[in-house]
Amino acid sequence: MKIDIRKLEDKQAIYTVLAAVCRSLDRCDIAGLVATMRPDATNVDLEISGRDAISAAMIAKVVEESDVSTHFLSNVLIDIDGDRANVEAYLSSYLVTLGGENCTVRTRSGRYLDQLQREGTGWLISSHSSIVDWATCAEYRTVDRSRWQSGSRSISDPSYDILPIVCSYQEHDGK
Amino acid sequence: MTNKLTPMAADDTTYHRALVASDYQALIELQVSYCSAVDRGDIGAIDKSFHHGAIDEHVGITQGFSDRTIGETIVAALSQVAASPMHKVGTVTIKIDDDRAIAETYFLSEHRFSIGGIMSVRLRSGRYLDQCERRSGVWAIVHRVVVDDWAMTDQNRNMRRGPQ
Repeated sequence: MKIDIRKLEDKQAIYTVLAAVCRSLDRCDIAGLVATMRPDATNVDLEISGRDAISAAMIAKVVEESDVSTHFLSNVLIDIDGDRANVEAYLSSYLVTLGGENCTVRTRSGRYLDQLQREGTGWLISSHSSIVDWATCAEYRTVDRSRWQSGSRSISDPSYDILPIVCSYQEHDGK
Repeated sequence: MTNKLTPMAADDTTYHRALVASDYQALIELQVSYCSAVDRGDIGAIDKSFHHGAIDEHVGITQGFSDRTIGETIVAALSQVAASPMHKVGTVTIKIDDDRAIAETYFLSEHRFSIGGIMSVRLRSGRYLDQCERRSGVWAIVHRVVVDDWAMTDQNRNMRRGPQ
């Protein structure tokens, strides 16, 4: 059996781009989100083009809807054809509004549908759209913070201390 | 996780690329197997996720230098607070540098427990921030920080009883 190492590398690199989208949204890291896209990328949902405008709009939307968010990737299907790839990625997003004893959680189960192109040694998103399969919004009891470290909605989050790289080809300058 | 890849590829570059791709998969499986071990209460399997001397800050244990192992500590803590725990991982970012790797792994944990006779589920969203090393061909964690993003409880009187 012939092992296609390049295809393995490509799939891992593409998954890392998708994870970087989620990570950047949750940390409100505009530079990190910009780094996942081609300059002329399009966002079908927002009907805008250009990675700077798209990144700013996507993060503004998350900030408007929540105090803290989690974009949780699971089932990822990647179809590579040469220097282009189509992706369907299942995503559960949790947009949490904190409010004392109770919190409001908007849960959306859906899929990211992305088109990517090979750029140098990495991959960049050329088109992004999303499908919401179902959504709920409900109020729950807030649980006290654990004694673990708290996450931050910025690049001062502890994760950026050990992993400032958000894509295989892009590094942050630091905090 | 053991990486069983042997140097059978055509040249060193190809072998190195295959090794890195294989390491990536091994590091993903390290996270998945850890979750499975925690949810099954398998102390030995949890401890296999950590090298000797590893520090798990979220339980305050240095593996091999404390009265309890990391696995014993986690299983003891969970047995006091929850039944049928579920730990799911996703959104994984990994950077591999030869025999060392850094990973951020999102998790969602679901713990079922009783409040005043009413069954509830606590959902917690956080991230494992891990430094990993390959020693004798085996990838495992050498330093773990757990970041807590948010948590909530949902009371449900009609919850079906699951395994204890």
